[in-house]
Amino acid sequence: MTPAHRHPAPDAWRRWVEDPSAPEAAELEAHLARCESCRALVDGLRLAAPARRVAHWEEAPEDLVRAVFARTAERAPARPARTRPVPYEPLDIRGAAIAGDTGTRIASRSLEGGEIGVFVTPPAAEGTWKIRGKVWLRDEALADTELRLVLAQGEHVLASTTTRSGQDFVLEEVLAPGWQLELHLPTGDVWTLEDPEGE
Amino acid sequence: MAPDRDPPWPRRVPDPLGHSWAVPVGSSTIFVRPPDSDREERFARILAAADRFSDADLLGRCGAGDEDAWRLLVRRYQNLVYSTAREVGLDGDEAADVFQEVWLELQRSIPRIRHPEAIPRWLIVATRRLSYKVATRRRRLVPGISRDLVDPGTLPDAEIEAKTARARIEAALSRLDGKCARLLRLLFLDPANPAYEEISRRTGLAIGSIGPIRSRCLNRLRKILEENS
Repeated sequence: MTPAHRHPAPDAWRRWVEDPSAPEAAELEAHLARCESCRALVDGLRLAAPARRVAHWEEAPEDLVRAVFARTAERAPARPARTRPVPYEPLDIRGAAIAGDTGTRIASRSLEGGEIGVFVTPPAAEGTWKIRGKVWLRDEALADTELRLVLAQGEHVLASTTTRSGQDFVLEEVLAPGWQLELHLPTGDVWTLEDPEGE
Repeated sequence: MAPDRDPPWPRRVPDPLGHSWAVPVGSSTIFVRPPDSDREERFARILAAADRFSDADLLGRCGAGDEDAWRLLVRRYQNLVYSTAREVGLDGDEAADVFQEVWLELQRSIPRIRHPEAIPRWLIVATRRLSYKVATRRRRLVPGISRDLVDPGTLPDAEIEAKTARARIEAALSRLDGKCARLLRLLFLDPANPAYEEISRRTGLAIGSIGPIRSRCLNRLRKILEENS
């Protein structure tokens, strides 16, 4: 048994905290019962154990943080849009894979107020996907209105851009399956087009 | 003489963040900065009160336009984001690009975040995807940079738990005095597990005094962590 005045090495305690079934466990537990100083050490090791599992930790440079504050202050924080999801009508029209080996796919939707269609092209190797498309609105009063496109994945807004009825738009982004492309209309309606690969 | 009172509109509300003015807009409220406040001094007070706010509190305030809540949120997780970018193999310049992009993405995504309590996960997912994007944009082949970084499904829960714990403990350490924080980092967080002789050399503490100081510092740390939770 380890005498009370001869403490086990900190590494031994560390191993035991990480693996209580270590071979020296019984001896360490016996020592711990009569050593207040070692109990304090073990308390600290237990407190820090989850945080120690981080492989790399590094402080962000202060100038970088200040640059973020400067950039984000230029834009108002995003405010929840008053949106009204639009039901699909008639049923979705979806393209099968086109262009053979390139993997490009098309997806299009015809809605009460117009149409949206996209070509989705995967990266040649590693890299970004390209989403090229066009929107057509039936209401001529909206012909010159700026329309906002949002490329989202779950709770992440990956990118956004603007377009107008009849104009091409292009978005290039790194994507995982399950993305959504939303067209926000001035009326508050949102047309949503899901990843054709994710369906 | 007229009594000193807050203007009727916007009204000042009891608010641990400091002196936000609450402005009713429709059925919701936005928070604005009073025009005559001293920005730096005020933010220092806010920082001191930062731990009273959960991530959900801060995100809710950010969504309502509170710039101070936004700063607190960035401060809370700045090292988590930067460390994650560096961990996957990016150099300093690339990690800096990713760092900027992550916070911009968060800013535009706030209205659609449904699980504000899971913001560390959100940040790690965004950082990994954007790290892949930056690395491939620069056409660099970096060991560890794989397409898996883009897929949130490949992110282990254990990694999120560890990084959240680290961010929490680092936030608490930042409230200790420098000597305590340095000692506790060396004793409990340094992956090199330095021996007491090395700790003594790096902190200037006598080996015999490390134990008692460690206990005092740990007690303070634990108190801060308990307050925060």
